[in-house]
Amino acid sequence: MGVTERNNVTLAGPVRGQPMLFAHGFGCDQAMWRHVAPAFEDDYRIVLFDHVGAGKSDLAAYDREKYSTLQGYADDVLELCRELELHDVIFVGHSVSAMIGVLAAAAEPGRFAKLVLIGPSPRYVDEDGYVGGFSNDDIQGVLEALDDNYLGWSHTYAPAIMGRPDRPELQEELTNSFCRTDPAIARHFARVTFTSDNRADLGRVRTPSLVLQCSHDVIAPDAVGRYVHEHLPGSVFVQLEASGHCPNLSAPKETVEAIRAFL
Amino acid sequence: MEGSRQDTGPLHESAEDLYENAPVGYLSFVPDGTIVRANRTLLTWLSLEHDDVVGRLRLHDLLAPGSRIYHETHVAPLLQMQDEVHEIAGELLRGDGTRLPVLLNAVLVRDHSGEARVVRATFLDVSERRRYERELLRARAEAEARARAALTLDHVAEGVLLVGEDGRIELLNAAAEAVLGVAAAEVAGRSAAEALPGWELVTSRVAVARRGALPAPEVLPFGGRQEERWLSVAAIDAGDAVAYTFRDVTAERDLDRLRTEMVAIVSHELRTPLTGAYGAAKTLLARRAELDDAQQTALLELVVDQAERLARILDQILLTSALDTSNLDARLLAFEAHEVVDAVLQGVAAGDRGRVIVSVPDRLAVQGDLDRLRQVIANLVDNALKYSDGPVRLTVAEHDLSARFTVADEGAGIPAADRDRVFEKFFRLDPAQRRGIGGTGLGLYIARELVQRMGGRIGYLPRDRGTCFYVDLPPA
Repeated sequence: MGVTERNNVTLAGPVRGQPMLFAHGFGCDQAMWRHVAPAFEDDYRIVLFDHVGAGKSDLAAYDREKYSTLQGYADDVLELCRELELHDVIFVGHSVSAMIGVLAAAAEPGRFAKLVLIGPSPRYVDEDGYVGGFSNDDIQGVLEALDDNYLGWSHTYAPAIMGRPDRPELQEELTNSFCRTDPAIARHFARVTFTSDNRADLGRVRTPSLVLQCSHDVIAPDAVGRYVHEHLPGSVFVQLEASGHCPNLSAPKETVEAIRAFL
Repeated sequence: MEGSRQDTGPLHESAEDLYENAPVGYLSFVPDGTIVRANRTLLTWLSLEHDDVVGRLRLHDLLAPGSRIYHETHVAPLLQMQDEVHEIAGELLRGDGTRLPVLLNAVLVRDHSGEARVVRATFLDVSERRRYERELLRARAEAEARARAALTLDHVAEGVLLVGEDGRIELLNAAAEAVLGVAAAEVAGRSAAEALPGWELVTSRVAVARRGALPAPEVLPFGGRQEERWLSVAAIDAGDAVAYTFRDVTAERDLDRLRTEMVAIVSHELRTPLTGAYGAAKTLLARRAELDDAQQTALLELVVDQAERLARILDQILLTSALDTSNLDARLLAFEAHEVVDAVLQGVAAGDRGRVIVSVPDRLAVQGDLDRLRQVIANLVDNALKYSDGPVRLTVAEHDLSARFTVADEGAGIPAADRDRVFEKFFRLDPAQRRGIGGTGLGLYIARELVQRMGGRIGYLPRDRGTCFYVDLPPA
């Protein structure tokens, strides 16, 4: 299985256009970009994909070892760029994928023209004067809750109690039809995301970057966005009026305008 | 809370009352998360005051950290994409910091231009369900652990049987199935006393060791099947059950019995001729002067006879040992059947020779070891002469492409029950020697072993009267 199938790559826009690579965050898949990506379709080559373990990616390719750090996902991004022969890439990463973009750009600076980081956080846990937004106890509680399987969709109880359901139609009948994830993979991804610390990687980036900070973002609070901006050499900081952690969905217009202005 | 539900006036079910006192929590919040309405039920569940919440708190202030993250990363995007979410498990924070497990349903309401205006959410208190689900998860983990343990038990060589306090069989491993001769699927859940014949003996004889103590195994006979088995059984208290472990020691016991028997038989068989020879020699020594030449010769012949008998017994024992421990190969050569018969007849005591009626073709080539075959046939003829008084027929004829030697007598025959056992080591028809016929019980065992090594067969042919053994050998 090739990289494009593995990551369920979908393409749009002019074939010779400058590539815009959109990377979704924890909890969803490329559907997150449904109101943002089309706005750039006339001018750019749009590349959407699902991280392995999310959306319609190849779940069989999920390797706990490889994806035990965000670098595993960054390697996939680079692999994808090579496979599709993407150069001068504008990388748009939401949430945890903002950091995945940082790692990819640090590893292969020549590949990327610009980075757009939406709600980035290099470290979710407060530590020695650093404000990440969550205490260590909070995160431990979250991880325990995930292990106990009582967070999230009620249907995730079913596999936990029954083991693997051998009735695939159960999966199809879910009312929450977007952002379906394998519960075990989602747990692992959450653990990797919320225990990651990529603060030191910010300084390795030379690519011009845009930091988009939402209002009232409980996942990546203002202080975190500021921290990223201050430690990312030559970055631009834009505060959005949009609330929450997903402006690409709740305020796509404002998000698109901010990105366009930066480009 | 009882007070708030009392309604003594006429029944009107106002929308306000239905909202405020519904059996579910209601909450409305605007896109920036600010809570714009909450019903009394929810506020009561969370021990919060209306004015401290509405217009002051955001949704995430009411969510436990895990649910806060989950809401932002999963629920909020879904609401934006499909305008509603169903059955999402989460936890709300009560005023005192404790958590309330809830199930969330929500809809996103948009204005005419499609802009999100408000999210209406309902919360179900699922504390009971959470406990139940935890119990299920725990039970599943336990069941899996048990299944793993049972799987491991199946690879243990000792039989393991778990009997509950009510006397029912809770579990038995593969080794226990084999030792007890039962199938787990058939006996599991049944009373041990009913499902396992002979179980009372186990419970009455085997003491249940306290947990941590070293159980003392008992060796007992077991089973209602034809074949009696001897089991070494130990029992130990396993909380609300007793764990029995089994080892089949039948083979060890058989070996032990065989060893005892062998010592008894061999000592007896050796002592008889020794006593005879010793007596004759002593008589000769003490009374030589009184005895005439014929008497002296008779006594000396007795000494020689008994010495020969001793030597024969010792030969048998040595041969048995050789057959047991090594591959004593026969030398296979072609020879004429009558050569064997002639050699056998020469070995028969002169006084008995008249009883042997021989029928052998002039030419019938046989393949085998001439001397071993002579030993086998001689043993059969010897037995026939010993166990009967009439004629003994030694016949050779072609039979199914083999050369068949038969030795038949007209004696008492072999009881049906013993026919299968006559070829066993140390088996004797008359162990008490009531008929005064001795023997080591090795002759037929040796015969069978030798015939098999020559590629032949030995067996017993049923007769109305007397005994008839045959030996089939491949033709040359």
